[in-house]
Amino acid sequence: MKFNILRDHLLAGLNDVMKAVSSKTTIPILTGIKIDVTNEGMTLTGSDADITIQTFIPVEENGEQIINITQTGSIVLQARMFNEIVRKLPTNEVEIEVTNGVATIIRSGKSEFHLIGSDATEYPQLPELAADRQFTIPTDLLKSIIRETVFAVATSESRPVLTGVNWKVDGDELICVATDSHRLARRKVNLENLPTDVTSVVIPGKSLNELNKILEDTNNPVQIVLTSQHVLFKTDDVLFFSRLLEGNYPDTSRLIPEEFKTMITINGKSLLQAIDRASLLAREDRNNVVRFETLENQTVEISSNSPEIGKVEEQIQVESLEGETLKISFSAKYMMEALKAIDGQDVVIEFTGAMRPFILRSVADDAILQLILPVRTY
Amino acid sequence: MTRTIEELTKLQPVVMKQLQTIVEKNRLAHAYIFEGEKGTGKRDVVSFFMKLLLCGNLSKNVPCETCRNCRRIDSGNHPNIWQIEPDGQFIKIDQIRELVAEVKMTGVEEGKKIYVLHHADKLNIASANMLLKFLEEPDGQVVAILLTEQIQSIIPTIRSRCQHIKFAKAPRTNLMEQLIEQGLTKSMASTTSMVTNDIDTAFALANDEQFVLARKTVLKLVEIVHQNIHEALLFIHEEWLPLFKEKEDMELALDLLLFAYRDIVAIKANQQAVCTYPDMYQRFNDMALVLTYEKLSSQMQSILQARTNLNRNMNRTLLMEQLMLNLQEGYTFV
Amino acid sequence: MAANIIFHLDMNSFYASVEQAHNPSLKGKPIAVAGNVKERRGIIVTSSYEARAKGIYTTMNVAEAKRLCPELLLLPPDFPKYRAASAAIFSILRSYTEIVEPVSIDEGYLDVTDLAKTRHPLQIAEEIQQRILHELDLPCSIGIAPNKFLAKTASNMKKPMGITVLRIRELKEQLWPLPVVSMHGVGEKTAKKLNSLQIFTIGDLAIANERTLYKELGKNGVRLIKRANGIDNRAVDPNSIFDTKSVGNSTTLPRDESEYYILKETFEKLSKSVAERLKVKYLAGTTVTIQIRNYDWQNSSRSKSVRNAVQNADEIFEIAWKLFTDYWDETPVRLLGVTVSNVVDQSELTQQLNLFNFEQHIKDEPIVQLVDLIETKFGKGTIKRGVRVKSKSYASKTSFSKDFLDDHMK
Repeated sequence: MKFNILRDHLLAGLNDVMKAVSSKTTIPILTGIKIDVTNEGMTLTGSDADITIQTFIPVEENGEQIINITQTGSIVLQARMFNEIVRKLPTNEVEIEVTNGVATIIRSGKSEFHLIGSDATEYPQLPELAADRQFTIPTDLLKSIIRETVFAVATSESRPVLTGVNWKVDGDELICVATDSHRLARRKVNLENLPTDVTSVVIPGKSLNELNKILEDTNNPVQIVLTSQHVLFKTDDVLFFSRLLEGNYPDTSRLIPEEFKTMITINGKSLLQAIDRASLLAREDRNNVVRFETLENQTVEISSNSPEIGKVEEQIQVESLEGETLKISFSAKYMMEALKAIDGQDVVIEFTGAMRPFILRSVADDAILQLILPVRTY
Repeated sequence: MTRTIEELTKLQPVVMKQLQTIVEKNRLAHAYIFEGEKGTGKRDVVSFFMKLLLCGNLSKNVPCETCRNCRRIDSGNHPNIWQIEPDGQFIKIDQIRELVAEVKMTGVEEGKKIYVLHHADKLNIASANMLLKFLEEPDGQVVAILLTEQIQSIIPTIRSRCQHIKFAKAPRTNLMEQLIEQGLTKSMASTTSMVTNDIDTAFALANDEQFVLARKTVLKLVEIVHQNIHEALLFIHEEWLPLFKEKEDMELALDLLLFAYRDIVAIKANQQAVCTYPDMYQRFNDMALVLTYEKLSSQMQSILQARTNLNRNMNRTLLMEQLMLNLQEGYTFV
Repeated sequence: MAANIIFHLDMNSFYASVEQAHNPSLKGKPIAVAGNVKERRGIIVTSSYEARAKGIYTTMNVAEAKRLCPELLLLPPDFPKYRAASAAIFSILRSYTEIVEPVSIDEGYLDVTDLAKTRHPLQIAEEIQQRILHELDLPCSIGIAPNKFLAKTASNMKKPMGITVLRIRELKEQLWPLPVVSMHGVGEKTAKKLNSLQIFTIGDLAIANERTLYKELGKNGVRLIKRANGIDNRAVDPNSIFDTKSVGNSTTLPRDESEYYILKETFEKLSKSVAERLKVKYLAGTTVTIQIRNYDWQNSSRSKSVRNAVQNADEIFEIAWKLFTDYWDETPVRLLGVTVSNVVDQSELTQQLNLFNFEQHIKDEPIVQLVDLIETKFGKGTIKRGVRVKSKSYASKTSFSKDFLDDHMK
C-alpha cells in the first residue's frame, strides 16, 4: 500500500473515527484504526466494539485532488499514536507506505516515521449492508427523536434491555420508546420505505448519545439500515454502526392509558419554571417529590414540603381544566425532563388517578408522548 | 497455539472426539466445564473448540487454521470471544458484571459468541451467583466455557448447568519419551515428568538451576537419613532450610522426597519399575532390601503429614525436624 | 446560676429483681436470667445479688455458672414483664418532673434542678427509691450530681439501694484514684490504649495532654479528659429517645461461619426482625447498612442508599444480601448485622411507582380517595390509617434493643 494524502483531510477523518476508539477495550486490535485504500479513496474505521465509526475520504473532491494512490491496500495502525503523529507532521503533504505486510512509513516534509501496524484482516468485519433495506430521516429530525427519548432510558443494568431505546416499525410509522420503568418517552414518526423484515430493535442509549454528538444540525438525510444485529446510520461522510441489545423489549403500549379523568392544558414553559422552583425544596433522597393539586378557577397548585428544609407553594393559571379534582405527587426531575422534551409549547396533561401513570403531550400533535408514574405518599 | 491438532488428538483423544461430535451432530450446549489437571491441554483444546465453532472452512470436523476466524482466535482479536482470567485471587463481580453486560448485546460479528472463564474455581460467591443467573437464562447464540483444575470448588448449581468435559491425565511415559526425544537425560525426564504433565513446564524445570539443586539436595537427604539422625538434622539446618525458603519450594521438595520413597517401594515390588530417579536405582535397590513395606509406608505417611502441616503454616524448622525423627524411626527397628 | 441537679437512676439487677417481685418465693435465692441454655448464647443476662455473692456475673456461661453455684435458679427472659415494670418505674419518675430521659429499660436521668428549689435533693432521691421499692418491690440506686456523667458515676458507687452524691470538689478523692477502665464511657479497648499512653487512673486522664489524646482517640479522647475533670454539658433530653435515626439488629453466629446458605438465612432472619421493628415504629428508611465481623474480630460495614424508603423484609434482605455478596471474600464470619437508617415516619414515606408495580398500588386507591375526601371535609388529621393501632408484637427479643422506648410514647 502506498499513497499520498492532504494532512487536513486525513486529520478531519481521524477526528471522526477517533470518537469510537476506546483505550479500555479487551480486543487488542481495537486500539487501532483501520485504513483501507481503494482506487476510489480511503476509508478510516474506529471502533470500541459497541459502536463503530467509518469515514470515507474520496480521491478527489470539488475538483481538488486529495489522495494520490500508488498502490491500494489495508493496514491497522495504533490509533492514538497515528493520530498524534498526523497532528504534528510538518507539512500538509503526507505519504503513507506499507512494506513487508505491516511495516508502515509515514513521510511528511523531512520527517519520516516508522510504525509497526497490524494485519487488517484481524480487524472486526462489519456487516454487509443491503442498500434496498434502508430508509431515511432528515438529520435534525433524527436528532430531535434522540433528544426526546434517550433521556428516559434506564441507567442501571438490572434490566439491560431498558438501557436502550426501542425502535419499532408499525406500517409506515416508526415508534421510538424509552423507559426506565418510572417514566416513559415515546416518539412516533411517519416515514417511507420502512423495513418489513427487521421490525423491532433496541439501540443502546449510549450509542444514540454518541451518534447525536456526531450529527450536525442540518436537514440532510441520514440513511438508516436495521439488521437483527446492528443498526447503521449513514450521512454524507460518516457511517455509524451500533450493536443492539438482545432480548425482547417489554410491550409498554398496553400500559399507556387511553381514558382520563382529569385533563389540563397548560403552558409548558411556565409549568416547567414552577416545578423547577418547587424542586428547590424537594429532597433528592425523597424522590424529588412535588405535589400537584387542582384548584377552582382554572388554577393548579404546585407545592413541596420538606419538614427539615421548608415549604413552597405556587399557583398557576391553566389554559383549561376539565374533569375530576386531583391531588398527585411526582418527581420534579421526571416532570422537568418530560416538559423539556416536549419543548415549551402548550402541553396537555392527562391524569387517571393519583396512583396511575399520567401522560403529557403537545397540544399541537401527539407525535411525542411522555408518561410519568406518580410518587405514592403515605 | 502451542500444540498442534495432532498433538492434542494424541493427548486428549476422547475429549477431542467428544467436541468434534458435538459440532458435527449440532448438539451444542450453552455452557461447558472443561475439567482437568494442569498440563492436560485445556487451553489448547478450548482454542480448538472455538475454531470448530467459528471456522469458516471446517473440513471433516477439523478447523482450517488459516481463515480469518481461526487466525483471530489465535491472536486474541476475535470480537465475539470474551476471555476472563482471575483478577488476583478471585474472578471478581465486576468482571462478571461486564461479562453479563456484554452478553446482553448482539455480537460484533455474525455468528456465535463465546465466553471463556479461566480458573472458574476462582469465582467468588458473588461472581458465581451472578454468573449463575446468566447461565439460567441464555440469550442468543452464546456458549460459555469454564476451565478448572478443581471442579469441586465450583458451586453445584453452576456445575449442574454445564456440560462436563473431563480431561484425561496425560500418560507419563508419553511425556517422558517426548522429553528424551527432545534432549533431556533419562533421569531428568523421569523426575520432571513426575512433577508436571506439561511438556513446557517439564523443560523449564529441567533447565532451572534451583530445580536441579533441589533434586540433588533431596537425594542427599534420603541418603543421610538412612545413615545418621544427627547428620540429617544438621543437613536440614545447613542445606535444606536455606535452600527451600518459599512455601512453594518446600512443597516441591517434599514431593520430590516422597517420590524417592515411592521409588524404593516400587523397586521392592518390581525390579522393572519406572522410577522418578533412575540414576539412583542401585542405591534404592539396596535400601529396598533392608526396609519393610510397613516401614516404607510409615515413612511415606510422615512425608504426607509434613506436606499437610506445611499448608497449615507450621513452623518449617519444627516441621522438618519432626519429619527427620519420623523417618528415622523407620530404621530403629531394622 | 446555680448548678444543675441531675439524678441518674439505675435499677439493681433489674430482670432478676422483677422476677423476684413477681414470685416472692424466689427472694433471697440465687437466681439468674439466662438466654437459651442449649446454645452458645446461653449466657447469664443478669443475676440476683444472692447469686452474685457466689461469683455469678453477667455474660458468664450458663454451664460454668451452674458449676460454681449448683443451686442457681435459671429463668428464661420474659421481656413483656420487664417492659411493664420499666413503664411503671418511669411513670413514678415522671410524677416528679417531666425532664426524664430514659436511657435503657432500667436506667434514666432526671433533671430535678427546679424541684430542688423547694426540697432537698437527697430527700427527693430517698422518696423515689422508697416508692419504687414499696410500690413495685424493686431496688434501685440513685446518683446525684451536677451533670449526667457524674450522676451516672455516682449511681454506680453504691449498689444495691444506694444513694450517692458526687460533687465536683470530691472528684480528686472519689474518682481520680480509680483505674480508667472503671470510668463510664471507657471500654476495654480504650483503656488498653490509654494504658499504652501511660494513663492508668482517671486522675492521669484528667491531666492528660489533649492533643496526644485527640491524635489517638479523636474527639472522644478530648471528651474523656473533660469528663475526668467532671465536665459534661449534655442536657437531660426527654426527647432524645424519639429520634430514632436507625433500626438495626445483629447476631453472633454459633461458630465462624462460611457456609453460604447459613449466612443467607441469617441475613433473612435479621432483615425480617429489622422490618418488624420498623413496622412497629411506623418507620421506613432509605439506607441499609450491613455489619460484618470476621473470625479475626475485624469489623467492617457496607451500606447502600435507595430511592424508595424500605420497610419490608424482602426489600431489606435484597439490599443487605447484595451488599454482602458483593463484598464478601469468603472469610469466615462471626457476627452479622443489618441496620436501616435515614429513617422517616412512614407518613413522610414516598414511593416512586413504576410501570411494573403500579397496578398493585391501585388496589389502595379507593381508601386513599376516601381519606382525602374526609380530610377535605373535616380537616387534616381527622382520620388515620388503621395500621396505627398499637401492635402487641415485640419484634425484638433482646434487652439491647431500644424498643422499650416505644412504651414512653403512650
